[in-house]
Order: sequence, then C-alpha cells, then structure tokens
Amino acid sequence: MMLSQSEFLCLNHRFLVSNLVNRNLKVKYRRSIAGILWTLLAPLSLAGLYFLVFRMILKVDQPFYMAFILSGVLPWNFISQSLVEGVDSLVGNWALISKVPVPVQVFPYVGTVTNFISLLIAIPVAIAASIISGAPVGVSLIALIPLLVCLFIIVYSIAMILGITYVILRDLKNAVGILIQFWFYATPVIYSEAMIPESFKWMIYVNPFGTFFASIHSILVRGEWPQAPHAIAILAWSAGLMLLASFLYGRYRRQVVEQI
Amino acid sequence: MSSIAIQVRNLSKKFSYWNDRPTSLKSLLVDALLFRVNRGQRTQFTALDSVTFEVKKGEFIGIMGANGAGKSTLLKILSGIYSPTTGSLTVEGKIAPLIELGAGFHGELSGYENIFLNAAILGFSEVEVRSKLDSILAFADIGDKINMPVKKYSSGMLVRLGFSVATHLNASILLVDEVLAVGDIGFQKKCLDRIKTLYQQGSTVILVTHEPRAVLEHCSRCIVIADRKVLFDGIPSEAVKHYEQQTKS
Repeated sequence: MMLSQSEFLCLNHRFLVSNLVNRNLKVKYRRSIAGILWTLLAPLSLAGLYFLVFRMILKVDQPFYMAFILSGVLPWNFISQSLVEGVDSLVGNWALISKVPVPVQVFPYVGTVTNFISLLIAIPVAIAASIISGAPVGVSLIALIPLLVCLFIIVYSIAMILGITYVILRDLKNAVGILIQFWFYATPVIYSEAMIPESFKWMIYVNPFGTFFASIHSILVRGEWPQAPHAIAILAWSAGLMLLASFLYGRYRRQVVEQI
Repeated sequence: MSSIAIQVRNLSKKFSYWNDRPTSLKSLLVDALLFRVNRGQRTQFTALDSVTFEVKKGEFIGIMGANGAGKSTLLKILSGIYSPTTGSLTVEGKIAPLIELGAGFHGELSGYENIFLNAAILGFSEVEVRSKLDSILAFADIGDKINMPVKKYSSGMLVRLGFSVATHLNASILLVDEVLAVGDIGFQKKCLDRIKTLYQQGSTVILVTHEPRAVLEHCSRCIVIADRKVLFDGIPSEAVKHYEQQTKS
C-alpha cells in the first residue's frame, strides 16, 4: 500500500507537525542574540566567500554575480541541511517511534519544513540582491512559488528515502556527507547552466536539482521564465520521487518500527 | 455502539531478524566482489501466540505475566505501535497509553510548552488541550515553575506533568504499565485516585503490573500471560495464584 497524498503531507497531523517544528526553532535559537538571523548569516557569508574567490580572484565572467551566487547558495543550503538531517530522521527519533504510535514520515517532514522556513526567510534577501545588483527581475518572480513547492517535495522525498534506508544501512550517514559535496559541484549552483559544455548538458536532467538551479537563475538573474524542458524535468522529478517515497513508506513503515 | 472496548482474536506476533546480516557498505561490496550471497540467517521468533481475549467497556482489568512472557509486545500492539502478524485487533475508543509518561518532553522547553508538545505526540488535538489546560495544570501542581525549562524539574515534577497530560485528555481506554511505581507514595495514591475517578466516569482501564495486591484491590478481572499465550483469564484471586506459580518455577 502506498501512502496517500494526505499521509505524505502529514495533513492529519498538523498539530503534531506545528508543535515539532516550533520545538526545533525554539530549541535552535533559544539564548541566541542573532536568533533566526543565523539562518541567513551562514549562507550569506558563504556567498561572500564565493564572490571573493570566483569574481575577484578567478574573475568569472557572469553578470549580476551577487544575485547569481545568492540564488544558488541559499536553496543549496536548504537542500544539504535537509538531506543530512533526513538521514537520521527515523533512527534519531527512535525513542519516540518505539514508544508512541506516530506515523514515521512525520519526522523527515518536520525536519524539511523547519529548514524550508529558513529558506523562505532567505528568499527575499536573494530577490533584494537581484534588484540591487541591477538584474532585470520582473513578473517571472511568480514562477518562484511553484518552483519552491517542487523543490520542497523533491527534498522531502529524498530525506524520507534516506531516513528509511539508514535504518538498515548504517553507512549512509558518512556516505551522504561526502556525496553532498560532489553533488554540489555536479549541480549548476555556483556556475551557470550555460557554462556546461554541450555534450554534458544532459547531466542537469539526470540530477533532481539540476534544472531547479537553471530555472531559479533564469528568474533571479535574467528575469526570464524557466525554460519548458527544465520545468517539465522538475515536475517529473517531484512526481517520481514522491511516488517512490510513498511506496517505500507505505510498504515498510510497519517494519521500520520493529527494525530500528 | 457495542459494549466491547478491545477485541483480540487469535493474535500472533512474530519478529524476524538477521544474524550477521551485512549492514555496512564495506561488507556488501566485499560480498558483491566475491559473488557471495551473504544475507546471514533469518531468524524468526514468536512473541505472542494466538492470543484471544476481549475487554468490555468500563472494565478494570489486570494483565500479569513474568518477564519475557510477552506483556510488552501485547501493550505495543494494543497501543498501535506494532501491528499483529496474524489475527485481529479491534479497538473502539481512543487509548491513552500511560506507558511512557511525558513522551517527547524536551528539556529546553518550558513545562507549559511541553504540555502541548506531549499532547500532540499522543495524538490529541489543539482544541482538546486548550479546553483541558486548567485541569492539567491543577493536577500537575507545578506552580510558578510551569514557565521554566523542564530540565530544571525534579523527576517527580516531570512524572506529574506527564501523568496529568495523559489522563486529562478525552481517551476512553487507559493503558497503565507500571507507571505507578515511580513517584513517592503520596503521588502514587493521587494517580490511582485519578485512574479510579476516570474508571467511575466510564473509562476502561487496563493495568499491567507485577503487583498482586494492586490486581486484587482494583481489578474485576485479570489475564495472566505465560509463555506467549493467555494462561488464565478470570477472577483476580485465581489469576494471582497462576501468576505466582509461573514466577516460582
């Protein structure tokens, strides 16, 4: 049996989800002066570093470089944090899963939602950077909404799959840490899709995040709409990964509780 | 509305696990390189073997059994954590599991915040918590410290808070597992009184215990589990005899 769509999105557990997200945010930022600003400071300083290295030292020729870097680094920060936390989302919550009847997909969901909130706070900064650096942003900004929804579904599905796999394969945690570094350079985050040689262009389609970055760069750097093939690839990845994750959880969520 | 709260029919639970199952990438790779299929040995073990019983609404029943007899597995199945391998389980009403008090309490959050978190984890709604908030706070008797992080609480305060949340929300079936062993005598009495009040108001109570006195004093019926099966189901005084025989050998 597959998870239904409402089970996938934990719609019947909104009170639980909001309490757990609330707990994550409160615990993370309690007794911190900058508080939730830290979610911005880390990627912003990283973006500053890339700007320094690629623009000032390597002299990469890319118009509106700050807008370009921010529209890449901020979503990537969401992706990498959610996936690293996603690996441990079931095993790490063993104490609860083995003692209370909670649907296990709640844990990767809550982790991804927590990080997604940080991304939503950061997106206006990326838009502001585009406007300030003079990038021709316009009505295509609206396309950010479906684009981010798809990104959420892709990341949440992968976090679910990693979480359930980690129950039986404990090497995954170390492997994912390394994999994400390679994934970062294999994805057009700090370089543009246009820089990829023609014979390697297919790579952005086999990468679930490839066409996402091509699209967000079109919106926030060139003020264009995402290209149709890119949009189709993102939708296909969202649907495919959601189906795979729903299948795995529908089939194995009972066993997970006994195997952790 | 039927008069049955819980119906368990021919319920069996088997667990399977692998001995020496390769769960690291290295051993998987080595096996793959040597074309070796090494899945270890799959071992099955039966934790419950065709258990059948029913609990009527408004009953106060005891469940006894030596360690390892299958009580914990039965509790986890009744509360919905595990699912039966074969057989069926029907539950009518909402279960409040008093097994793990204060599930999900977070040390950095205040007692007040933890009430909501704990209730959400137990599957209750926000409306329910808000409407019962005053009685939860009154019973827990934490006073001004309710706004302090619970890591500063004594263990007694933590148990009081957890017990209070679990017993003030609208559950019709209470699953009580040895929780009364924690806390001082005064608190134990207060908890038992609370359980009795709920019982008198019509709740069904299932008390899992090793304490013959508790069974004789409160239960109208008692089930003894031995060797993964129901050994006895009937009047408490007889049940205690069976239980004592089991633990002697």
